[in-house]
Amino acid sequence: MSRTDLMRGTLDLLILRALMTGPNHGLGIARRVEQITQGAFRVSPGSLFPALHRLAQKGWLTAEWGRSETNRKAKYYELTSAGRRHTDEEVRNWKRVSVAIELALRDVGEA
Amino acid sequence: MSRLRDCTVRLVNLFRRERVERELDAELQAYLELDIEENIRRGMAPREARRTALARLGGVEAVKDQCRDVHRFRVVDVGIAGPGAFRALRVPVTEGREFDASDRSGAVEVALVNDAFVRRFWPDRRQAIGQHIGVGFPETRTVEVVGVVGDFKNRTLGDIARPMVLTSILQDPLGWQAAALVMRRSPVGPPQMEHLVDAMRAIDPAVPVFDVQPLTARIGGVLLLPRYAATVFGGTGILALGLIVLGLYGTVSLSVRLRLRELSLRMALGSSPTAIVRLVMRQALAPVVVGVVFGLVVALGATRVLTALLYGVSPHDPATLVAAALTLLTTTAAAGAYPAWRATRTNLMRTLQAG
Repeated sequence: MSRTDLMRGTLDLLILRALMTGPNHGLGIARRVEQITQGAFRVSPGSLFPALHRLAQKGWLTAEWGRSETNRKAKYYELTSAGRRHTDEEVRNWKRVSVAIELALRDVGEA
Repeated sequence: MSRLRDCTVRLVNLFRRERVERELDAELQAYLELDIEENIRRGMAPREARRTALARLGGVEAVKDQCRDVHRFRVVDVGIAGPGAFRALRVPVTEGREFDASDRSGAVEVALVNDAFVRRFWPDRRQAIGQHIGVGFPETRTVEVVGVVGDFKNRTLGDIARPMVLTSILQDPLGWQAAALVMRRSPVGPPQMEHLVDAMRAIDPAVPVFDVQPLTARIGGVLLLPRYAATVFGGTGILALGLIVLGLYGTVSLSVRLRLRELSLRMALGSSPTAIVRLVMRQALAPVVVGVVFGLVVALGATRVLTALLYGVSPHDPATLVAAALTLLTTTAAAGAYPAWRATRTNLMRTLQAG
C-alpha cells in the first residue's frame, strides 16, 4: 500500500466517522474532522471533495441539496446503510491494525 | 439504426457530464460562501474573508479536476483529423508523427495531443508518446498517443491554447459524413479551383464537393472581425489625434499672438530672436510634456485589456506609443515656433503702438 493510498484510506475513514453523527455539508465535515482529531487533521477542499465524490460513487454516501443553519444553499452528505456497515468494518480493521502497531512499537523510542 | 442509438448514448452522456459539471460548480460555490460567512463571523472584514476563503480553496480548477478524475473524466477539446492534415496546415509535429493512411479502422487506435495537453497532463513531455488515454464519456475507447502537435488556433485569432486530443478520422466510430479537406499545391502557384474540383469528381463523382476556396480567403473570413475592430479603433485613434493636433496648434498659436506685445517689448529691450523663440517654446511645451507622460502611463495601464485583440504587436508596442508622443510634441513645437518666429519679425513700433 503506497503512502497516498494509506492517507486516502485515513481521510475516507475520518470523513465517514464525521458523518456518523448526522448529515453534513463539505465545510461542516472538514470542521468536524478537525474537531474530532483535535486539529491534527486539516482537510483541504482539494482532498475533501474528491474523497466525498469517491465515497458517494462507492454508494457509502448520498448527497442532497439543503439549507445550512444560516439558510444558505449547501450540498449535504449522509451515510447510507451500506456506508454505515462499511464504516463499522473499517473502524474494527483500523483498531486491530493500530493495536498491532502499538504493540510492535512499544519498546521503540522511549528511552 | 445503430448509428441513431450511438448518437442517443452520446447525447445522454453529454447531459450526464453537464450535470456533474454543474453540480461541481454549485457545490464549490456553496462551500466558498459558507467559508466566507464563517470567516466574517470570526470578525474578518468581508473582503479579507473572501480572500482567505479563496486562498484556502486553492486552484478551483485543480479541485475540479481531481473530482472529475473520480468520475473518470477530464474536460478537453476533442477533434478529428485526417492523414497529413498538419503538414498541409503547417502545424509543427513536435514529437512522434502525425496521422497517416495506415491509421484506419482495424489498426491500433491512435490519437494526437497538442502541446497544451502535454504541458497540463504530462510535464515530462517525453512520456507523451505511447500513452494510452480513453476518449469519450463514460464509454471510452482507448487510443494510443502517437504524436504531439503544436498549439494552433482553431476558431479565432484570440484563441488561447487549450488541451486538445485529436483522433484519426479513418477510425471514427461514427464514420465520416462531412469533412473539410485541406490541400496544398506543389509547386506553389495560384490556386486553380476548377482543377481541384475536377480532380475530386474524378475520384468519386458521388461525393458532393462544395465551398472550395483558397486558404487566404478562409483566413480572410477569420480575420474579418479583428480587422473591422482594428479599423474602427484605429480610425477613432487617428480622429482623436487629429483633433488634439488641431486644438494644440490653435491654443499655442493664440497664446503667442496674445503675447505679441510683450514679446515685442522684450525685443525692444534687447532680447535676441533666439531667446524669444526659446521662451515661447519652453512655455508651450511644458504642459504638453506633462500631458504626454501622463497619457503614456494611462495608456500602458489601459492597453492590458487589449491583449486578446492584438496579434503580432504587443499591447505596449513601443513604436506606436513613441510615434503618438512625438506627433504631439512636434505639433506643439510647430504651433509655437511659427508664431514665435513671426513675432521676432514684426515691426516693433507698429505692434507697440497698436497695443
